[in-house]
Amino acid sequence: MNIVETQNLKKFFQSKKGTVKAVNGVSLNVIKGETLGIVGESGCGKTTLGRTILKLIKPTSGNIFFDEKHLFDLKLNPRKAKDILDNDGIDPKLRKSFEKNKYGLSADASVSKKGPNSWRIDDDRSTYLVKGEENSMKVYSVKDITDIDDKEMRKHRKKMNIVFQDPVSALNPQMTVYDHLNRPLVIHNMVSSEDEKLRKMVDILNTMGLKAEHLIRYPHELSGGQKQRVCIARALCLEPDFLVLDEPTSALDVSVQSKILKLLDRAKDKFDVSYMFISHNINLVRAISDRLGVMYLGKLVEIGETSDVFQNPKHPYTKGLFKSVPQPDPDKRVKAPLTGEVPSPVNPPKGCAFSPRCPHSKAVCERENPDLIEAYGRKIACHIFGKENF
Amino acid sequence: MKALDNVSLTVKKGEIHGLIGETGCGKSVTSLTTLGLLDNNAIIRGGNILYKGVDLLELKEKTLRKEVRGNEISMIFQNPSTSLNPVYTAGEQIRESIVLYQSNDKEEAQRLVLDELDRVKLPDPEDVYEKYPHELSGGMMQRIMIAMMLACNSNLLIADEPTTALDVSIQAQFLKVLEELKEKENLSILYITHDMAVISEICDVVTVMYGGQIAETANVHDIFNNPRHPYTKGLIHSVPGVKLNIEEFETIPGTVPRLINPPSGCRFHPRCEYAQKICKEKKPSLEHIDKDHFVACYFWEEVK
Repeated sequence: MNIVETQNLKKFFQSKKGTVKAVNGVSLNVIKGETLGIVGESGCGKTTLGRTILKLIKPTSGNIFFDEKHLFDLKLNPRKAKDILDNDGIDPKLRKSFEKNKYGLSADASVSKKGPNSWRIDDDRSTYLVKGEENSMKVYSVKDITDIDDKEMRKHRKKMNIVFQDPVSALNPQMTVYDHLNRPLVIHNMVSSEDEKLRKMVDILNTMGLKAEHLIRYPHELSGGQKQRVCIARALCLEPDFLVLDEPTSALDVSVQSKILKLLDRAKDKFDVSYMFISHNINLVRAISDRLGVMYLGKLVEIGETSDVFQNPKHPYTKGLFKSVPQPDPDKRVKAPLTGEVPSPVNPPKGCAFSPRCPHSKAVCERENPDLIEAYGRKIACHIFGKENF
Repeated sequence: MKALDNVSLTVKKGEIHGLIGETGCGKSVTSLTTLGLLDNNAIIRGGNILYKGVDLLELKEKTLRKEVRGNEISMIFQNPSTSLNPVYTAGEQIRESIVLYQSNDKEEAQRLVLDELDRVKLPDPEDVYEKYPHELSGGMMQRIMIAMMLACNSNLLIADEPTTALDVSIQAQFLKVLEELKEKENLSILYITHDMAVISEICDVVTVMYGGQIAETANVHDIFNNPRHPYTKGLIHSVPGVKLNIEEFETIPGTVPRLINPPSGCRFHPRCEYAQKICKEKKPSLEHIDKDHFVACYFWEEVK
């Protein structure tokens, strides 16, 4: 089940030079309990994606769904269900099936197709997703957080959080660790007494390898690694379901980095939280993520199981990127790194954005933008290598 | 604060020597001392910096500036955008070093600049010549810095974290340029970084620093396959990529010491799993244990 799903998410910024398409149609899902790694070079839109998903910045278009719950299976022959869903209005059979499962649809409910095997049903109270899998169709309830206002959003904020790259600027120098943890706990009514609050704070600090005595410390009294651990503790103290980790260790020394990664890994099981881990450090993402998404100029070019993608990258950009990464082994030196540089997102190349750097580029690549489609048990956006029967 | 304590290292002709360590271990101070670029409050208490047999510490500032910096030894820094002048084009800035060190003739100088730009594999040198730093990407700027150094005909390049601000694909291209310069022109490079993977990528010899002292020196294969200092070993095993699974990651307990009041004896002993009484009492000296392998640890034989 997904904790977060985005559909064709876009975020454009206006600059003097033109429109920057920072996130340009990203559809992805984060499965409950997993770590989804997002890698890409600077300017590929990975940070903007993380922030847009949490609605820290308003998306230009697309949808963000949160907290998916499986309601029931659609008891219709899948082919028939498809026919019914492909019609514009709500078919009486579909309405009946919803009623049978005690989820009555209102009169103005509407269906819209969202992908090859997914449909969205909107009614005045809820949003449903219908997804086809092999031989069955499943109906999920989701919260569409794309268009809700800030007040409504605040209720969801508790369930999703973010840890930023630089712990120095993420902490207020005038506030103690206690203050940093106190604010969210009070704002979201997480505790009923001072006693309970302190117990909770100490528990979360312990999880992050800190002690109760750190509560009275100011940020300048902590080392870089300790500061970042406070940031993570602050993000986890509301017991969120989903955490965006935006380069959480790149400001730290390696020996500290590995400690933070271990603590994050442990916290994931303890708090039952799902991570979206954004980083440019490919070796690191490889170690920590279950699935991996590779971004290039605002788009996902490949997404799949981490080990699978690493062993056998399909998209030429993924291949080139992995080949450019130095390995801590003097016997395995980089032979053929990627050539060229990332083009400007203001004026991206026509067709496939990677085509000018791609060694396999063909006429079609310069003409049409490839869709992200299923192949080899993952999703790939490439005209040449994105199809299995190639 | 004792930033450096008894640091000895040798960079041979045509060799890329990696200097690795964590924040505050003294790797940048080492490089700045070499070029006499330390702040006024720095005191050099002893030692020599021998370059082609001449002790740089005994040279006057004027001689250093006129005859050493640039002609003989050049340095590039982490952030190229702060090293380049924003109001001159890239070409003009390289031409300055050519006029200073090679040729006074304007047209010839311009031609030489284009040659240098070509040598660092910048596409379309004529175009880059006319560009201001803000019009160039980080990778291109860093290559301009290299071109500038090449224009002075330096023999030794000190590169202080030159790729930390760059993306992996650009970093890989940049490292290839350095390797080619080493191969073709026999350039010597002192490469300072905190990134173990980069070290393994281009270095021939590696020196590991900890708390202002040298922990271990060896050729790159020995450092990775046969580390003998517990700190080197810990450093390698905490780098993602050596271990692929997060559960197998090793961590070094504790944090880097402050050099104002460093631990007694071996500075690594409070974090070291092999530490014994002697480590706390007496500083180990750099021991010659194999052909080109030096280590400062009493228990190097036990480190596996």
